[in-house]
Amino acid sequence: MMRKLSFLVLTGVMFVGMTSCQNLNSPNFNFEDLQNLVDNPTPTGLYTAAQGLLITRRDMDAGGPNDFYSNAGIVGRESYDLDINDPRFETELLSSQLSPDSPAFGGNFWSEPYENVRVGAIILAGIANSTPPLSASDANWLEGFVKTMVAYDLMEIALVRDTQCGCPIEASESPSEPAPAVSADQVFARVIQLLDEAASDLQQASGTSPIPLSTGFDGIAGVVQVGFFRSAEGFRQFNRALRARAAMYEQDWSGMLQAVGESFITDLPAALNLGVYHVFTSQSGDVLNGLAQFGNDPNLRAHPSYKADVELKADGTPDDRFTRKTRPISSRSYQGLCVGDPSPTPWAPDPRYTDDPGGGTAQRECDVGFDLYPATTTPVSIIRNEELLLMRAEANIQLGNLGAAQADINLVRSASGGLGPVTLTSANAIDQLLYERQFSLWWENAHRWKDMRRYNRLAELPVDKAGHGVASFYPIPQEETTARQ
Amino acid sequence: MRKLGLLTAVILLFFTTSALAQQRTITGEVRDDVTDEQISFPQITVDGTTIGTVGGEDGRFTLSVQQGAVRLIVQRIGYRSSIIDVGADQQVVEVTLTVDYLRVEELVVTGRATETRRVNLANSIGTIDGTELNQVPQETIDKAIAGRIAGAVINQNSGAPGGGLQLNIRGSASINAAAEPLYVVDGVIVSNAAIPSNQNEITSAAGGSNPSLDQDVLQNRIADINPEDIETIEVLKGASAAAIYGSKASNGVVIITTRQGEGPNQVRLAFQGGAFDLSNKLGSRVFASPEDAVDGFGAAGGVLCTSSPCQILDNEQFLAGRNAFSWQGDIQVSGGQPGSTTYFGSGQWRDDEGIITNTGFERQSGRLNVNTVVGGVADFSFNTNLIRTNARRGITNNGNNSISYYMVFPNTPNFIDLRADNNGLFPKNGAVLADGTESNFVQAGSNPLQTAALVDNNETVWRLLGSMNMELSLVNNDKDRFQIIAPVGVDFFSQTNRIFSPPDLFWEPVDGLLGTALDSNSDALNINVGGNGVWTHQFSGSQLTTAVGVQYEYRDVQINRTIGRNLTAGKDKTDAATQVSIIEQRAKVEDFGFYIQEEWLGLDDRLLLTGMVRFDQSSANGETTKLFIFPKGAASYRILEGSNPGNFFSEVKVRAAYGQSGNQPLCDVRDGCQKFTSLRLDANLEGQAGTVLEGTAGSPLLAPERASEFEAGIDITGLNDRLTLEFTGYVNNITNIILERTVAPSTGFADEIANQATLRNTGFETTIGWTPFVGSNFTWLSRTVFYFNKSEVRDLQGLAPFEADAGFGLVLGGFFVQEGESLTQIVGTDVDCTGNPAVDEPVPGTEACLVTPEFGGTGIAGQRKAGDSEPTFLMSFVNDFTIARNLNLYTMFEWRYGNDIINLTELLYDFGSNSADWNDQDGTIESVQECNPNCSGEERLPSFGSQAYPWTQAASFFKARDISLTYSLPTKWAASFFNSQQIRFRLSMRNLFTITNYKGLDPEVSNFGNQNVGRSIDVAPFPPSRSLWLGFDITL
Repeated sequence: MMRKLSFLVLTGVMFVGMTSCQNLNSPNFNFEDLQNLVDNPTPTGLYTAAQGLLITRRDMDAGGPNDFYSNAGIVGRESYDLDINDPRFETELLSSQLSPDSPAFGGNFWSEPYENVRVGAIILAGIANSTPPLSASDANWLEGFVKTMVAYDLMEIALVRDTQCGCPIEASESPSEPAPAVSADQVFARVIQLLDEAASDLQQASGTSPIPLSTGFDGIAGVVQVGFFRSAEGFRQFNRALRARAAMYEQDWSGMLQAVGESFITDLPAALNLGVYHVFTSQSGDVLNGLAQFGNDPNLRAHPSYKADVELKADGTPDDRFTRKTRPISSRSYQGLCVGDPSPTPWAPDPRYTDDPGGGTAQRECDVGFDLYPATTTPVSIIRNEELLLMRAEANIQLGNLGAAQADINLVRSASGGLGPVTLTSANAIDQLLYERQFSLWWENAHRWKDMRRYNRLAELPVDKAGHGVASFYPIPQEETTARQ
Repeated sequence: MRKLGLLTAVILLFFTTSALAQQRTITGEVRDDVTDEQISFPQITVDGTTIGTVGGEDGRFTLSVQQGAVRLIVQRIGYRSSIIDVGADQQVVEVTLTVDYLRVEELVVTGRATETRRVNLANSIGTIDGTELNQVPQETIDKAIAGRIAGAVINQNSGAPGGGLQLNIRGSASINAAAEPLYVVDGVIVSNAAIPSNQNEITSAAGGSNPSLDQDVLQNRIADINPEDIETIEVLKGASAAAIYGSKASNGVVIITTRQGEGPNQVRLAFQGGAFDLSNKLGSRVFASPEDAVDGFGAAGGVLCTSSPCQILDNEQFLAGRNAFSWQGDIQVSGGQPGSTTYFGSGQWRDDEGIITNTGFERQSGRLNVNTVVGGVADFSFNTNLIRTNARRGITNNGNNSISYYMVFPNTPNFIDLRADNNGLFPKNGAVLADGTESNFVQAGSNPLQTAALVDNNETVWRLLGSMNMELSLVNNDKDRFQIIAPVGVDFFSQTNRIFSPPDLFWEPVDGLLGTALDSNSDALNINVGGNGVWTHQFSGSQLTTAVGVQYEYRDVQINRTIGRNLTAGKDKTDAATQVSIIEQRAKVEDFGFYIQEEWLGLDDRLLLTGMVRFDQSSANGETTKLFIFPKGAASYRILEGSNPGNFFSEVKVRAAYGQSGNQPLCDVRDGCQKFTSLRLDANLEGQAGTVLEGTAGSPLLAPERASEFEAGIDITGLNDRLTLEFTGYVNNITNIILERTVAPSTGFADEIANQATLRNTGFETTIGWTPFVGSNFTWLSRTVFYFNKSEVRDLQGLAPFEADAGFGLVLGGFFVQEGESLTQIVGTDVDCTGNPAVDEPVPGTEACLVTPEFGGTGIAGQRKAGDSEPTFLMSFVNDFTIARNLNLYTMFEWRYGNDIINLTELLYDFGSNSADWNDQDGTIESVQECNPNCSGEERLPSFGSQAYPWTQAASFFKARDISLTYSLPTKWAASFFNSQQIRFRLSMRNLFTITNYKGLDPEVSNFGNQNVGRSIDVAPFPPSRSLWLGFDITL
C-alpha cells in the first residue's frame, strides 16, 4: 500500500513537473529587445534608433567632464583637470603614451561610435522592410541621416587613432566575429563614400527631417530660416561641412575647398556660430552639458600656456576669444601642476588674473576657468561657420591662394577676436592659421590636439613636468586587440 | 524546536495507536549529570521500534513496553543520547544525560523536508546555535557567522553601520552570476538583495573608470533579520550538500531556523547599552616646516602652517571620533506544551549610533512563531516577522566629486583644522592667499566634516516575513510513516532611500545645481510554495526514507527613483527641484523545481546512503521550459559507533558525497536578464526619444552554471566524548561559468554573455572541538577551526585572460582571470616585465611576471602578479570558560593569513604627497624594485603608471571578533527578584582589536561590495569601529 502511495505521489510530482510550468516568464522590463528592431522595423522604431545615434555621439562628446571634448582637450593641453579623485587626469592623460588597458584614459572613445555603426547598419537594413513602409522621401532622409552620422563616427575614430588604425568600417555579423580592420586611409575612404552617398540621398529627400531633430539643428535666425538644418538641404550642407573636414584630414585641399563651398559657410560676421550643435536639457532621461563649469573652484581649468600664447588687442587687452571664453577662478595645485608663482604680480593684460605667465607653465597658477559653457543647457558645437571659414583659409593657404586665405583669417580675427589684421606669407601662414584655430575652436572637439597632430607639431605643445609628454594617439583598446588575436 | 514538535507528534501518535499492545509499564526520571537538574521533555524510545513517549516538564516519564528486557534510548536536544538497558522486572529507571557540548547528537536539516542526525551526516555541515550567536550583541546575522564555520569567510565591505557583508562559502564559485549563498529562513527562501542607495548621483563614483553602481556602499538585506530570534543557523557549504536546492545553491545555503517556545510561559527581558569607537586611522604626512608645507600643498600650505614643525590636527578623529550611546532592548515570550501548542514571540529595538555624526543603524523587529498540533496528525507552524530597519551611512567609498570623506582626506594636510567654529560654520578646505585669492586643497574646498554634518543618507526598510508550514502524518505504524510537508512563505520588503545634500555644502555649486534630493523606493516580493512527501519505511534493522517534493518560487524587485537637483529654497523635496529625473527598474524571476530523494540507513545505523535528483526550471535561463538536472549521491559509515564510550575513540565516521548544484543566470533589477540583448530606453534628446544599444550581447541559450563537488571526510569523537575532530576535503569543479566574454568593442558590444569557462575550488577544513574541563566548578569548551580554499581557472575555452568587472584597469592593479591561475589573483602593470624569465625576477612581495601564450609568450605589455585576495588559510578560535556555573567568559578570535588588497586609498594619499609614510626614513630614495613592500610614499609614487604592485598589499590579520564576560546571579538570588529564573549581567566587546600589517583602514573592505572576483579593493571606505556593551537579562 505504501509503495503504491509513494508511487502515486511520485508520478503526481513528475506530472506536475512536466506539465505545469511552461509559462515561466521574465519579461525584459527595463529595455527593448534589439531583435525586435531587426525583425519588425517600424517607422517610429527606426526614427527612434536614428535619434539614438545622435544621443550616443552627444553623450560621448560632452555628456560628462571626462568626455571626448575634455579628455582629448587635456591631451592637447587646452585644459587641465585637477581632479583629486582620479589622479590619472594629471598623470596618464599627460603622458606620451596612453594605455590601451585604461578604460577612461586611453582605450576609450572606441566602443560608442561602433555602437552607432551597428545600430546604423540595422536601421539601413530595416528601411526597406518597414511596416508600414516609409515614403521614398522619408526613406532617403533616413538613409542620408544615418550614413552622415555613421560617417562622422567613423571619422572621429580614425582621427584619434594612429595611421595604422586597425579600425573596422562595418558592423560584423555576430559579436564574436569582428569585422576586418583597415588603415586610417581606408577608413577615410569609407567616410567619404558614406558622406557622398548620404548627400545624394538627401538631394532626393525633401521637407523637414522625419526624425524629430533637436534645436541644435535650428541655425541662427536672421542668417538662415529657423530649422534650416532640419531641412533636407540644410542637413545636406551640414553633411558637406563634415565632408570638408574629411578632406582636410586627407589633405585633399581642392576637395576641401569644394566641399566647404557646398556647405553653409557664410561671410556674415554675425554668423560665426551658425552650425549644428549638441543640445542638452534638464528633462528626465536627457543629459546636461558635462562641460559646463560652475563655482570658483572647478576641476577643469584652462591650460596656463593660453595666457602666454594669446595675442593682445590694440588696447593691450587679450584677444576677445580668450576673454569671452574664460573667467577667473581660485587657484589650486595638484601633482606638481599649477603650483603658482610665489610672488604674484597681476597679469597686465587682464588684472583679474593674479599670476604673470613667466617661467615654465607648471610654475603658474591655473586661475583661468572656462566660461564657454556657462549653463548646463549651453549647446556644444559639432561644426560651425567659424571653423568653415578657417577651413577655407587653410585650403587656400595649401593651394597657394594666400590672399583669399588672408581675407578669411582677418574676418575671423576681427569678428571673433577683436584683433587687427595680419598679412599672411608662406612662412607665417600655417602658424597664424593654427593660432586662430587654437583660440577660435578652444575646447571644441579637441581641435587643438588634432591640428598639432596633423601638422606634426605635438612636440610644440607645453609639457610641464618631467615624465610627461603629449600622446600622439588613443590606442586601440586592449579588448579589441585581444579579441582579434 | 519545530523538529521536536514534529517528532513529538509522531511519537505521541504512535504511542496512542500501540497502547493496546501494552504489557508492562516503566517509569523514570531524566536528570543532567552535572547539575542534577531535571531535564524537561525527554524523549524515550524503545530501541529497534518506533514505540516511545515524551516525558514531562519535570523530566518524568511513563512508558508501556512489551514483556521482557528492553533497551531504551533517551534523547533530548542539547544532550548526548543515552542507551539504558532495562531488565525484564525493572520498573523504575534513573537516567542521566550529558550536555552535548560538541553537538554530536543534533539533527541537521539536509533536505527540503528531511533531516539527518549529525552522527550520520555525509557532508560537513556547519551549525551555530542562537546562544552562541548572541554572546555579543550583533547588528546582523551575517556578522555573527564570522569565524564560526569552517569554510565560510565573512567580510565586512565597509565600516558603515548596518549590513554590507559578504558571506563566501568555500571560495568563489562564479564570476558573473550570484556571489551570495541562498538564505532560507524557516523553510522560506528570503531575499538578500542589495539595492544601491543612489548616492552615486552625488558622488559620481560610476562616472570614472568603472561604471558600477555597486560602489554605493550596499547593504544586503539579510541584515534585517533579528539575530536574537535565531535558534540555529546551518550552512550547507557546497554543491554536494546543497544539491537539493538545485540551480540556486552553488554558493551554499544558509538555513536559519527561528525559535519555538516550549515549557512553562516564560518572559525574557534584556537590555544592553554601549558605544562604537573608531578602531583605526590612517594618519597623514607630518610637515616639518612651512617650507615643507608649501612643498606639499602649495602656497595655501604656507599660509596655514606657521610653525616648525607644522601643527597637527587629527581631522580623522574629528570626523569619526564619536562615541554615542547605543543600545538594544529585547523581550522574548515563549511557552507551550510540545505536542499541542507552543509559541515564541519577540520584540527588539536596537539603536546603534555610528562613529561619524549622522550615521547609525536601527532595528525594530517583532516576531510571533506559533506551532500547533491538531488531532495528533497535523502540525502547523506559523511564523511572522515584521521588521523595520534604518541605516544612516554617510558618504563613503569611491567618488569623483571630492565628496566621500576619504576621497578628500588624501588631499587634506593635517595642519588644517576642519572643525566648525562656534557658530557652526565650517571652514573651507584651503586658505586665502596673501593676494586675497582663495586657494583650496580640493575642489571647492570640500570639507568632510561639513559633508558628514549636513548630508543625510538614510535607508529605511519595512519588511514582512511570513510563513506557514503544514505537516500531516498520514500513516504512522510499526513499519511505515508517511508525511506531507507543505511550506508556503512570503517575504516582502519596501526599501526607501533618501539622500539629501543641502545647497550650503561647499561642493554643491560645482555642478551648477544647488542642492540634491534623492528619493528611491524599492519593493521586493519573494513567494515560495512547496509540497513534499516523506515516506519512512523500517525493515530488518534498516530505514528507507523516500522524499519527493515540488517547489515554485517567485521573485520580483522594482525600483523607482526620483532625482531632484537645484532645490527651491534648499528644501529636501524632489519636486522642489528645477531638474528632476526618474528611474524605474524591475526584474522578475519564476523558478520551478522538483526532486526525488532516497535515503537508506542500515547496518545498525552505521551506514547511510543517499541518492537524489533535482529538476530545475527557471525564467532566468535562456530556455525557460528546459529542466536542468542536478543529481547527488552520498554515503557515510560509522566505523566505530558510540556504544563504547570508554574507548579512546568512541565514534569514527568516514563519509563521502558527490553532488551538483547550479547558479542561475542573473536577472538583475538594474541590468536586466543576462540572456537579453537590448536597446536602452532611458535616453532622450530634448524630449525626443532615442534608443541606444546596451553594450552587452545576451545569449538566448544561457544555462545555469553547474558546480560538481566531491567531498570526503572523517569525523572522530574521542576522549570520553570530550574531543571531536572533523576533517573534510573537497574538490568543486564548476562548469558552464557565465562569462561576460569580452568581444571586440568594434562590434558595437563590449561583451557577450556565454557559458564559457571552468573553475575548480579545492579545499580542506578542520574543526576541532575540545572540552578540556567539564565540571560544576569549571567548564572549558574550545573550538578551533582551520580551513583553506584554492581556486583555479581551469579553462576559458579559448578566451584570452581578462580583468574582472570590479576594478579600474591593471595600471592600478586588478583582478585578472587567467587560465591555470587562481581566480582571485591580483595583477598589475609592470613595465619591467619583458617576458624574459632571466629578467623577470620576482620583486619582494610579488610573484613572477605574467607570461601567457595568448599574448605571444611575452607577457601582456608587462604585467606582474602582485597578490591574491584569497587567504592562504583561515583559523578561528572559540573558547568558552564557565567558572562556578555563574561566570562565563567567551572569546572568539579570527586569524586570516596570506590575503592581499589593492589599496587605492593609499594611492590617493601618495598622489596628494600626503601619506603617513610619505617621508622616506632611511635617507635614500630607492626604486620600488628595491624597497617593496616597505617603500615610503616618496618611493612609491614615481612608479605609478609603470608598476602597480606597490599598492597591492598584504592584508593578513588577527581580529578579536567577540569577547564577552557574563555573570549569572545564583538561582536563589535571582528567585528573590520578582521570582526570576535567571538574571545575568554581561560585558561584551566586538572587534576589540585587530593585529595586521595592512596599512589601510581595515583589511576586509570592498569598494564594490559583494563580488565573486574583485572584492578586495580599498577606496575611501567607512572607517572601522569596535563596540563595547554592558547589559543584563532577566528570565521570568
